Amino acid sequence: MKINRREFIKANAIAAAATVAGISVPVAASNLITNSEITKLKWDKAPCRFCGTGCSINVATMDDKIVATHGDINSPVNKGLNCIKGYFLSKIMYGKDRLTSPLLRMKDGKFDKNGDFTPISWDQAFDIMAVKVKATLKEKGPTAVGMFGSGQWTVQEGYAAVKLMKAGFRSNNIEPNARHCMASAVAGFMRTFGIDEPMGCYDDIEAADAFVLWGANMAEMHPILWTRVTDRRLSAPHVKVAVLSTFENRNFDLADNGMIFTPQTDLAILNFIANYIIKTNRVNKDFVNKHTNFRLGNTDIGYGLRPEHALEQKARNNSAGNTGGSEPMTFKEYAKFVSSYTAEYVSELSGVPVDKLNALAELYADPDTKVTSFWTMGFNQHTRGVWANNLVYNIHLLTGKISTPGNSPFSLTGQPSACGTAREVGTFSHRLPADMVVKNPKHRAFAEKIWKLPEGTVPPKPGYHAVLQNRKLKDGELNFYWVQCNNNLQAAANINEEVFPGYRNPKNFIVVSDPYPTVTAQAADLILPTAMWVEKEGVYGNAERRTQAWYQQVNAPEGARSDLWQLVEFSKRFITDEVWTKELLDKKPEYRGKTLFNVLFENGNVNKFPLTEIPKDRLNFESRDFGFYLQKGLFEEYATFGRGHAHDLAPYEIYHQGRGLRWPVINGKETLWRFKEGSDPYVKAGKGFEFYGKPDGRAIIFALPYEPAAESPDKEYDLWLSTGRVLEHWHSGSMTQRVPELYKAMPDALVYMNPDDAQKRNLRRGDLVKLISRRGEVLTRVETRGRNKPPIGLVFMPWFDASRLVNKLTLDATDPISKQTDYKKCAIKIEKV
Amino acid sequence: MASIVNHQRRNFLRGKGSSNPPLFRLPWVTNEQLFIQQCTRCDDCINVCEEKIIVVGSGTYPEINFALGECTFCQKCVEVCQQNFFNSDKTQPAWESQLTIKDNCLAKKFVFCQSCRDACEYQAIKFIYSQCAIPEPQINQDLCSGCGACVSLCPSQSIQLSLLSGVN
Repeated sequence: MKINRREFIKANAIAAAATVAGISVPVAASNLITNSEITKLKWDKAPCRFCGTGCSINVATMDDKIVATHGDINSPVNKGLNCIKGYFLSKIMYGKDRLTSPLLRMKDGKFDKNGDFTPISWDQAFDIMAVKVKATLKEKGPTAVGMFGSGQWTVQEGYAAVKLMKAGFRSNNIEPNARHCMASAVAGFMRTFGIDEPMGCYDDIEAADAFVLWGANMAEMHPILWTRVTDRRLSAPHVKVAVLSTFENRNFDLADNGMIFTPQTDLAILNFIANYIIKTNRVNKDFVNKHTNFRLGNTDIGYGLRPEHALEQKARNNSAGNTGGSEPMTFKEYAKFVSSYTAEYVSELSGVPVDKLNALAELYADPDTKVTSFWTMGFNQHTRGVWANNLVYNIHLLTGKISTPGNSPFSLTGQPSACGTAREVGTFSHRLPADMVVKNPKHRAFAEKIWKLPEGTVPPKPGYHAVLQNRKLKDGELNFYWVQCNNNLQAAANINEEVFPGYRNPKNFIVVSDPYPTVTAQAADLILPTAMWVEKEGVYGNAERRTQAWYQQVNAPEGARSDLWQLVEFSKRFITDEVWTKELLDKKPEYRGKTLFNVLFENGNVNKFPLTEIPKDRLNFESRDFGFYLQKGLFEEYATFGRGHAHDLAPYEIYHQGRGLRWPVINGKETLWRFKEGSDPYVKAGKGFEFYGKPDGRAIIFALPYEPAAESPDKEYDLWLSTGRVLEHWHSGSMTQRVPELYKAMPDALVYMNPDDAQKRNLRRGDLVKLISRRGEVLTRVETRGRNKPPIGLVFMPWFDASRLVNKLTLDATDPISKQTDYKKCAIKIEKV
Repeated sequence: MASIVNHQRRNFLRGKGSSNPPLFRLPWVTNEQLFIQQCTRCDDCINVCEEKIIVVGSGTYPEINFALGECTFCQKCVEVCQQNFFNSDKTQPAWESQLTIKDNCLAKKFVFCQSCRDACEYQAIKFIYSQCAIPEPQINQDLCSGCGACVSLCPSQSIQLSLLSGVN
């Protein structure tokens, strides 16, 4: 090979540049020294891996590695911006302890619950899993098999999991970690509107005159949406921002009206606002008469604890059928119901001054102020979370401030596809895709028809919800359990008493799929190494109903496989005769002897699209392994559930082209505001508004009272404990704690407390302390300054830190309707160590 | 007896030039020249520092590395030291320093980051929403104690604490 001096210098320059960047130039490139192509990064797009905002990210690959990311300028969500987590996305896949081999607890060459993790092959891993599933099904039936998934699953993964569990194993024991995150929002939507997810969208931000934050720390948890709120506030001086929280946080920087309330009294504040609207004669009577009904909800509904708990013994309406019950009432009766929530009474209860309460209520009452309400975990992680959701809709409905630009009660989400996967696909124990439920025989029949399965395949009884799954594991009634894409041993409440015992119960076999050895993985019996984010193709759905797709952009580390591949490949291990009853197979004898892979995924729908539809230059490990375009087949079969049922999705390819579309997508057009004539094609002409989730098209205004929390501080446990997140880390930190820059910026979870509370206990900033609840203890250090400034009597500790598990302290009390845990309220004491 | 180092010659031989920024020695050290003359390099200050931020630096003399953490001004290093190169008035600032934010700061590049904000016990770093929705850090030098707590936290290593003169 001849090479002149100039080319030689150039080649060396490229090699030098590549070394500096930590990239090795492909060998083949050495003879292409004059070709600038080899130094080019390949850019593509993907939704961010973290929160529910759904920012679009440009992703640069080189030599099969992600080397850079930045905010996507073409994205209408983030408009080129990134938060600090999104900025470091390129590093989440490259932690030093990335798992690359299945690991089974073994002793003397055999599985042993108390053995050491030993590398095995995928074949061996699926062998033992299949043995355990079959033995469990034989001994106890489908209710002893369960799965705990995620709002971080791709749409296709969640959908494949639902099919494998509800149709394949015929068990409804499938739940997403989203149960911890937005189940109360879902139940709130279903109860008030009869259809899930927000009516508005992020475009409301640029149209609103006022923002009210109800238990949403947007400045840290949804920073990019917060920049849009800030932009609106700074560019339109009349705009007001009201912030309600149980402690002062970074949102207060921008607040015109910042309010600290005593935990749980948000319920009373919401009712006060309704009362204020009525008393000042600002009810939008035309809207209320045409589009709403009033109902009185059941009260004293318990706290979702075990039935033997004293609080459950005492509660009147905590039986399954009663918690969500209600009866019709008139506007007059409703007005009387809320009339006891006067400013003075609520001020005394909540600790918020009367003038601040009035200023807040006036934002909603003033017919000329367009109000957008945001909430996240403050409402949803609440033993009366569904009520809180219902009550905020009440005030938007009373004033008709809904479904129009700027008038928007908006539930934010914490996970990238809590909406897209958990809610829309319906990976819950009671749900099916597109808001359908297993209880409804028509819905089951509809699913079975699409899936080409015999009638009666899907069991009618809802399975165990997330918290109940942990209890059933502990009690030895749920014996095969597969955890994918979450870290529930760190995330679930009351770890010591109600979570860890179930994982280590000798009756149970626990499988955990994860890219990293999380706390949960380490408590498992079998760990499966998992491909993540752009190591696979997928679809996410964000909080504003925006569906976004991405292509696989790099190969996963050798040995790691996506959740999707795991679910579909595992289905090959079962013959229908092994898992279905004779009666069921008699209805479709041609399915005898077939594998679950044959009947679930080679059903003519999922395997409909050939590999030739995948662009040639695209990776797609799963499809090329199974021999058909798996992600497209799953998406298109899934989309048939929602098309024509107000959940319409566009053809799959469309999502690869743009930056997402908000469903329902009708004739290629997305829907920004639902339930409003002119912007939502499902609203009939002449209706103005139509809440078509309800048979009569009317939303419900619920009369619901203030009821106390499950556990409040007393003489011994004298502090409220609230838990949550921080800007630098996402959820349990299994990704962000492995990014050196993010770890450095926020290495440990501290307990934030009021300086007076610290002084009273003879504590100084930085002191080592023990936090003690009735359920457990945790050591950490005191922080009396910084981002969170709790009032006297309340402390805050984030849960991202695997070395300081704050969920040893929390109580597994849930909202009895939504079954979502309250992570914001329990009682603790703090001692100096 | 401490050997006298000719720094000019040493720097020349190391190709460093003579205009290196002055180093953080120990808090309340008044004079670099005096420090170099008197310090016996016994490492007592290094061993006593609870924050473990005093390291063996150039010429095996102790220096403070803020990338490792902050100075709490606990004075343990001052107390353990046998020499007499400290300002006797400890109510004075430990050193005359200046805090600067480099241009590679993430917030300056429109990334929503406020990691340095909480580090400052004296609230010398503020993020004020004035024009832009992604606020930049603003430093109040009068409030800055020079403790360096913000330096190590910065994910982009954009915070620089420098001595204003050769003497502390």
